[in-house]
Amino acid sequence: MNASNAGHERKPGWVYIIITMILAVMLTVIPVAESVKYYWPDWITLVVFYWVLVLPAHLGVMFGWINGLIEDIISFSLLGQHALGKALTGTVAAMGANKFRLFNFLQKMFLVFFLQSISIAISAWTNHLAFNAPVLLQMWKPALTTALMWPLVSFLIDQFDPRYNS
Amino acid sequence: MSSHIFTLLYRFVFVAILTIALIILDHRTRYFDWTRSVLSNVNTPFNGMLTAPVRMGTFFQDYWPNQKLRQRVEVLEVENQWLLAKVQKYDALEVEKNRLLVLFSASQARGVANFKLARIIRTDLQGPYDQRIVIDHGSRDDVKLSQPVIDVNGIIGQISKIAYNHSVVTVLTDASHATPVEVLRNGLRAIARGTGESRVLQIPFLSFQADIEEGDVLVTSGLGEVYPARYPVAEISSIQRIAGEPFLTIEARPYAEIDKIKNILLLDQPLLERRETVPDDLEIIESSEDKEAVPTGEAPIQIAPQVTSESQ
Repeated sequence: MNASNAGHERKPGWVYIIITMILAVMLTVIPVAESVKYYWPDWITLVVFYWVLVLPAHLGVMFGWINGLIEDIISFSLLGQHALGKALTGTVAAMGANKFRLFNFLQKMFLVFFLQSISIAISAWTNHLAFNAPVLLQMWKPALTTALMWPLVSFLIDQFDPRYNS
Repeated sequence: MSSHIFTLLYRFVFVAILTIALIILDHRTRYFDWTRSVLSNVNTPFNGMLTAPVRMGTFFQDYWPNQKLRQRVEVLEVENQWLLAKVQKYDALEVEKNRLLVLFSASQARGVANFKLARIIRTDLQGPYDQRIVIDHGSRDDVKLSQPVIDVNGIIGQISKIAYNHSVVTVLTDASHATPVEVLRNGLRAIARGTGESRVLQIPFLSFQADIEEGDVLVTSGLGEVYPARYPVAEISSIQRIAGEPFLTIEARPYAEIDKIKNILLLDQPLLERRETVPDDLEIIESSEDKEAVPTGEAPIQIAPQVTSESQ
C-alpha cells in the first residue's frame, strides 16, 4: 500500500493503466442487486485518483476528463456531465500529489469522499438543470462507499502491478 | 513548483469551459447525435459481457433437451390448439368491436399492431435514480426514434437514443417524460408526468371539480402522436385535495414494472397506418346508420362514455 509515498516516481505502465480503466468500467456497468445499487461506489474515480497520485507528472486533468467522458458514453448521459467532475478530481489530485502521497489512508479516504461529493453534485445539478431530475440527499451515499473502497482498490492495484513488484 | 500548479489550474479552467460548452451543445442541439451513436458502440463488448451468463444458460438449456422439456412441448401443443380455436372467436369479436368503435366516433381504434420482442440489457444507467433502460435492438433492427415500447401490462416508454445494436428507452416515470392519457371510465383527458421514482406518476393540472377517483384506470389518449390510443398506463393510487393549491394532487402507479420484467415489445405501428384502418369499417357502418341495432347489453361499454367527456 505504500507505493504512493515512495520517494521516486514510478514509470507509467500504460497497458496496466488501461487494464485498470477497463476493469473500472466493467464494475460500473455490471448489474447489481437493488439494495446494493444505492451504495455502488464510483470505481472510475478511484482509478483516476490512484493513477494521478502515482504519476502526477504524466496524468492529471486530461486523464480525469477522458475517464469521465468514457463514463458519459457508457451511461448515456449528457456528454461532459461526468467528465467535469472527473477532470476536477484529476486536477486536485495532480496539484497536491506531493502532499497527498504523505497522507495516511484515512486522510486519503476523506479526500476521495470530498472529491466524489463534488463530482456527484456537478452530475446531479446538470441532470436537474437539463431534465428537471430530482436532487436527493441519498444520491451522495456512493461518495461514502467510494471512500471506503479506497484502501482495498489501492492495495489491489499495487499488488497486481508488474512494475511495482519487480 | 507553483508554476506547475498554475499550469494545471489553467488547463482545468480550459477543460471546464470546454466541457460546459459540450454539455450545453449536447443538450440543446443535435450536433453530437451522430458522434454519440458511433461512440455508443464502445458499449458493445460490455453489453456482451453483461448478457453472457444469460446466453450461456440458454445455450446449455437448448443443448440438452430432457424429458421435462418434451413433456412441456406436448402440453404446449395441446394448449396451442386450444388457443387457436379460441382466437377464431376473438377475430369475430375484433371486427364487432371495431364497428362499435366507429359507431361511438372513437377517433383512433386500437388496431392490430406488429410487435418486435427485445431484451432489456441494462436498467440503471446512472445509478438507481435514472429511469432509462437499454434494450438489445438498435438501428440494425430498424428501431426508430420515439418508437413506443410496451410490455404485457402496459406502456413502458419510448425510444430516446439509438446505437447500432442497442438503444435507450426513456421510461414513463423519467422526470423529463410526460404521457398524454385519459381516464378509461369517462374519457377525461390528462397528462401523466414522470417523477424520477419507478412506481410514481403525477397527474397535474386537474381542477377540484374533475371527475376522477382512486382506482381509476388511465389509458393513452393517442394525443401527442407517440403512443397509440387505449393502451393501459397506470392506476390512480392517491388523490389529495390540499387547500390553497389550485389543482388536485394526484399520484398514479404505472402498470409496467421495470424492475421485474426481462423482455419488452417494440410497437411497430406507424401512425398513418393506424388512421387508415378506421375508414374501412366506416363504409360498412355508414351503409347501416341504425343505432338501435347495436346490442347494448354485451357491447364493450367502457368506450361509450367518450361522448360524455365533452360535457365537462
